[in-house]
Amino acid sequence: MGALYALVASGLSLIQGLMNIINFCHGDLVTISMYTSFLLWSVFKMDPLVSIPVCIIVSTLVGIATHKLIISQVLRSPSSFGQMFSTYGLGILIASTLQFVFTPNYRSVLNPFVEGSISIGAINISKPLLFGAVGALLAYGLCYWFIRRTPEGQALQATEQDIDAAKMMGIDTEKMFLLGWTISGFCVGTAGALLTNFYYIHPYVGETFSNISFVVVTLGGYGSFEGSLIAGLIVGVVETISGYVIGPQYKLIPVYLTYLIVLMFRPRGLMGRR
Amino acid sequence: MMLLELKSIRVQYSEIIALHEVSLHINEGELVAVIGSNGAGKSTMLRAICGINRLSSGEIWFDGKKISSMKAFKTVEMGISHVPEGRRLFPRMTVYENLTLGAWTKRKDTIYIQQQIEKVYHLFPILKERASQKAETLSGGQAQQCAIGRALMCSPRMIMFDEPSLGVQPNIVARIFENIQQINQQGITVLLVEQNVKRALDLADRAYVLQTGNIVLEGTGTELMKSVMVQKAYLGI
Repeated sequence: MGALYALVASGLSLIQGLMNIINFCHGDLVTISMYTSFLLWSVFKMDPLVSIPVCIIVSTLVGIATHKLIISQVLRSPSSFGQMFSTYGLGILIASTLQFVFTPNYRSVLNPFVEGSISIGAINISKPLLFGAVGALLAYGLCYWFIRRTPEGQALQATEQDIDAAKMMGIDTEKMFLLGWTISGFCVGTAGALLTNFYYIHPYVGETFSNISFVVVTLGGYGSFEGSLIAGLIVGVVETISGYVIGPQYKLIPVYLTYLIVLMFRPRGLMGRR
Repeated sequence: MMLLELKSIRVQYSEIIALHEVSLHINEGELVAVIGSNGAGKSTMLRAICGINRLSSGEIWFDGKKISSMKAFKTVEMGISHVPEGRRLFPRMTVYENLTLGAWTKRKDTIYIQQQIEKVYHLFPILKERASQKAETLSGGQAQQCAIGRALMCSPRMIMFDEPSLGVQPNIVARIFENIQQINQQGITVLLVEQNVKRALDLADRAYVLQTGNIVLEGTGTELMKSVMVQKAYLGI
């Protein structure tokens, strides 16, 4: 679960660092991806694993549309309220539309390719969860490699660090924004598809991921891609252990407590800077 | 041949007019200085030329083409490079990465980039030593050299220097001005914006005086140095 949190959060962190926009509908992109996966399964009997590429494309397209239609307009306004309300509003719109179309019922995919669990000694590991973790780490690794090792990734980082200087280098920053949404869509789309294997689906499932993502991004440090991974894993581990020790209904309390305690001593997050 | 021409450009930040009606021209291969005090609109002018600030009226022509409605990244492709005020290096990237980003417009050509980096290292040996150091850890003078090197990476036709002596320790300032002269002697047109009026006028073929958003005087470096107005206002004589 932690790896998936890390994956979702790094998409959020990227957009935040790049455009200084807090994307409140980030979690709803996860929901969209999950419903895409669910729909493909129920209509075409497509396994959630097979539909990963479709989910990535859909969430990327939604991300790009959000940018083109809303964010690029909002970025021109000097007030930061615009961006907060617009993405928050979009989140509500997405969730309500999904509720209207799919009803608020909880859904899940039955009999996926990957199911059951492996036992190592006394420990049972659910296969879909293990698969989700490995897939999320792979996707995260791919994004990491892209951002740190390719010229386009360098330009993306440059845009994040100083947008005017990036323009002076001849970087088309508008294209970089779109690239950012694409990577973010890739993260969210992959996460959503992997989650469909074992997680229940309902119109507001994204909210959980939004909240956790904010915790992860802040805990890891704003704009730190590595920080998101570490914080995501920490949140996942804390959640699992406390779910086991004090009960699943209270599992988020220790998560938020950890977050508060870390921020008391490191207000900029684990890997945060200035 | 005229390389850059500003035709009565005006730049506004919402209500405030930063540049009223500025006209100037730079010939190919020239070193032209624009001097003026803080807030005269010098940086705004450079940002308008490279396309970051939009004009509210007037036109900018470069190499026979109108560039005033182009996006910033296009002007770089045309051959305009910028050493911005405060250097504006990418702080959390290494010196080497900063330099490679300077050649973004030619990113496909890795051989060219390597050759160009060697040239920059030859001009500023310190950058080779600091290649893998993060830009935010450089001293003012080193950072300025890195910013100049970064601007040279794309083989520009014209470089605009915005206050290159600002925040640089005094014994390095002379070196920086020498570098600017060298760059100009290699055939690159230079537009230099400076508050360090004496040094700028010493170096420049021609110069303009910018005051509260208007060009109030123009002439050769020596002419302006002798002008009563410049002596009073900027040289304190």
